[in-house]
Amino acid sequence: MTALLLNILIQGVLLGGLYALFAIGLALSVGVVRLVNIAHGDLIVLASFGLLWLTQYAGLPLWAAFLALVPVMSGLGYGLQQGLLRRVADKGLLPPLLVTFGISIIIQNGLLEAFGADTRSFASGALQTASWRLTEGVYVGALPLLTLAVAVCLIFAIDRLIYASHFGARLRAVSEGPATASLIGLPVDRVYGLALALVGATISIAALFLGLRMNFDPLSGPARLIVAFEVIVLGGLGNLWGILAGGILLGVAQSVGGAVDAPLQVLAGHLVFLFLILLRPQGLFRKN
Amino acid sequence: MTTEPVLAVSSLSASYGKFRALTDVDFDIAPGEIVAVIGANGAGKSTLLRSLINQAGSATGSVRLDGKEILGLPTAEIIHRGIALVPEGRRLFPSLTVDENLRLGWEVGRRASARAEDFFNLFPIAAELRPRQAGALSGGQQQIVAFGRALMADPRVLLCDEISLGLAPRVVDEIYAVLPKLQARGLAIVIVERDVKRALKAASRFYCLLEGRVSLAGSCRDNTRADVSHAYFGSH
Amino acid sequence: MDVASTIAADPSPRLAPVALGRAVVGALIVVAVVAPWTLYANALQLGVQFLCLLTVALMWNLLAGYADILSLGQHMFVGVGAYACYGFVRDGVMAPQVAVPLAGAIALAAAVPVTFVVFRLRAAYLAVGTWVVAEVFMLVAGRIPGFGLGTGTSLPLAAARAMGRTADSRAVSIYLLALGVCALAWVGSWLLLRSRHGLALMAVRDNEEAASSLGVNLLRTRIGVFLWTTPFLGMIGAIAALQKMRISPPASFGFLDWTVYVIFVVVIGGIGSFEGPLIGTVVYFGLRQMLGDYGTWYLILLGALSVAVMLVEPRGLWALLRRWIGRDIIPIAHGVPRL
Repeated sequence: MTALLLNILIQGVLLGGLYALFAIGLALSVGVVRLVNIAHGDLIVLASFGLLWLTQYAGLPLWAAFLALVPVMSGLGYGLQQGLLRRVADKGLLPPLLVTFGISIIIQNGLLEAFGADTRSFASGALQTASWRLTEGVYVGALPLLTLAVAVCLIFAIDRLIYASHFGARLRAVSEGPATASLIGLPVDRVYGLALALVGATISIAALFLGLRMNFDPLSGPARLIVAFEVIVLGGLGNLWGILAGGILLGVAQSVGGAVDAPLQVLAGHLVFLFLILLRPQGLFRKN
Repeated sequence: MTTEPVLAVSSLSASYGKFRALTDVDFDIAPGEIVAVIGANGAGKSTLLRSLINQAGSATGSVRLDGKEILGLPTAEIIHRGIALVPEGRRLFPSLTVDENLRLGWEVGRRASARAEDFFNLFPIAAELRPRQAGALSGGQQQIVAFGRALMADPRVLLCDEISLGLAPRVVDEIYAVLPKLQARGLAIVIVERDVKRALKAASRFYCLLEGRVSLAGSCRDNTRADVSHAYFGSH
Repeated sequence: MDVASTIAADPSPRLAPVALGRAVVGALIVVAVVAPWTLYANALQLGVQFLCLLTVALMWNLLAGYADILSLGQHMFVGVGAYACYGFVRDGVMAPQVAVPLAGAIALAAAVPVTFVVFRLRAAYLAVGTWVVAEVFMLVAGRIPGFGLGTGTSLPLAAARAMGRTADSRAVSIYLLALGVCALAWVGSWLLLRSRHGLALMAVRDNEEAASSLGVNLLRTRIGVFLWTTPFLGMIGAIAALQKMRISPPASFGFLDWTVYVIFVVVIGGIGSFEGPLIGTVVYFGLRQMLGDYGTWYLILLGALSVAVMLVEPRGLWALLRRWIGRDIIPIAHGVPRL
């Protein structure tokens, strides 16, 4: 019995690593640019399809495809800010949300046209099935563990970037006071653009592990957005490590739900999320 | 005035939508001069400063820095060319440290350090505050840091927007004591103030704004209190 | 969009286009009313779809355009209405005409706990929050025993017969139901906006800080509007179920049909005006007739159009038209012309 519970817990924590990866980009986007990007999940899926195209049709090995994709997604993020979002930033609450909503639908249907509705995933060979046995009946998969490790490293790296670098100081400045920032001559739009470029890079990482660990299809973006959203609301936006905590909480909730009855997995996550909003809408972590 | 003005403004008008904030303002300042801009609330003082760095709606007219036209250029560019603003209300970034706030005034690495050192030599108080979060400082301390942030851009013209606002008189004295030090380096300083007496005491020349226009301009010594009062309130 | 420019720039409105506009609206109303006696069943079915979309668009517009609530989850109330309707007609005792308004009431009842959760969040968070709650409703609906679970179920033939003996008469019944709900939605919303509550709404929309300092309770006003829309959404869901004679989680809670298309319709037509949703719905059906049903391309087009609208004129086609005309065709304003 304890083995079962331990397994559920471990799987939940490991799943949390993947969910944290989904959420990092959204957290940056919300925290710095103040944008809840409705197309966030779709961008992850887009990147996954990009990796798919590069590996299947262009014949690149996965690592090379990933390296090629990062600058593309970063450029896409930068272009999204400078090309579109900048123009609607001062028009109020709704326009940026509606623009990203439109982009979400465009991406989904564009992918449907280009790739069809089948679900896809990446093969990773031995890594996919490798696992360690902790004790009787309790296993830790290599790939999920790697995912969690990558999430931790990425959060650490971004935390250092934001709090210990000059670029990070600029990010924090425009996040805290965009009006003041322009008054003192900071190129606010360019800083936003670079922030979204960083988001694009994190999306590439999330896409890699999405494809390795789960299936994806053109319409699976919104589900990823909702996961990312739940993670950052659960963790609160004050602290980057809250993303990890939120991810793990969601992962464990889903893991428990899934153990009770497979279709309950996603629902369990939603219910925990809604329950927490009721109790503590500001999330688990207070601001730094 | 015997020297060429570093900043020369002519026929400057600025509007927010249909609302005319400034009309036909002429203004100039030479290196090492302190010029005061006074006027009632809503007269256009802050708008004047902001329009100089292109942060105030749409503006027409001419603004020349060292003879070169800068009207309409992006704010970052204007600041790099030598005009810096100490904004109304200080407006530091509260969660960033003093050091980080200063560095945001200018991006380039090595020169930033040199300038920062220079600033800390000028204001030893600030040196102690370096690692502290700006939000935790007192109003007076923040004002000094705000100065420093503007100075980090190595400006030729410093625009000071209501630097006495919300501060105790003794603190304001200390702040105003800073101005001659900056003046001695050839900086041209524009001070916008609601405290008319203090402004006219610190400056050599003044402009008085009334409903967006210059109602009176001249030397601080030569004008009587009655003249200034008329120009300020627009009474007859 | 400051007050000064609003007052100063409004030229004397061209009366001919205003009159023309009102004539067009009037004509549409006449067409809608006489339709049952003049059109065939297929056309009537299209009419039902039009009226349903129009009603939902109107409701979303109330939320987004007047109460500053971006709802991404209103399809949950449409679904609740559909499922409630099925529940009522399942045993063949209740007439569909009675089931429809009751379904609306059920949707309203379901909305109350939703507001408790969702209004703890704000703005964009609220938007995605409504989406999450909608997902929950859909997942739960797929697990309720007796309602067909994941694959759904068909409505009993008795319900169909209760609406009419022949296919034609059934089409007329459903059409009249839809017309009734739509008319009620329009008139009700119009009255709402012209009332004290509507004034409060528009005050909040224009300047939240000032409004709250005048004592307008923002949260209560917003929640009120949110709840106001739900019975209409529920009734539309019931009507849709009656027309399709079927319920299922993806179909009844259709995100695409009741949220995506609706948002595009209102955005393109014009958020924040009464004319906007009408124009948007007309454009939607017009485009659909022209382009056929190229699902994905149609959506890409709509998405691109919406993005373009946001970039060029956030208040949509109607705003462009209105600049030319100079006045509202369907007047809501309380005196001072608003843009």
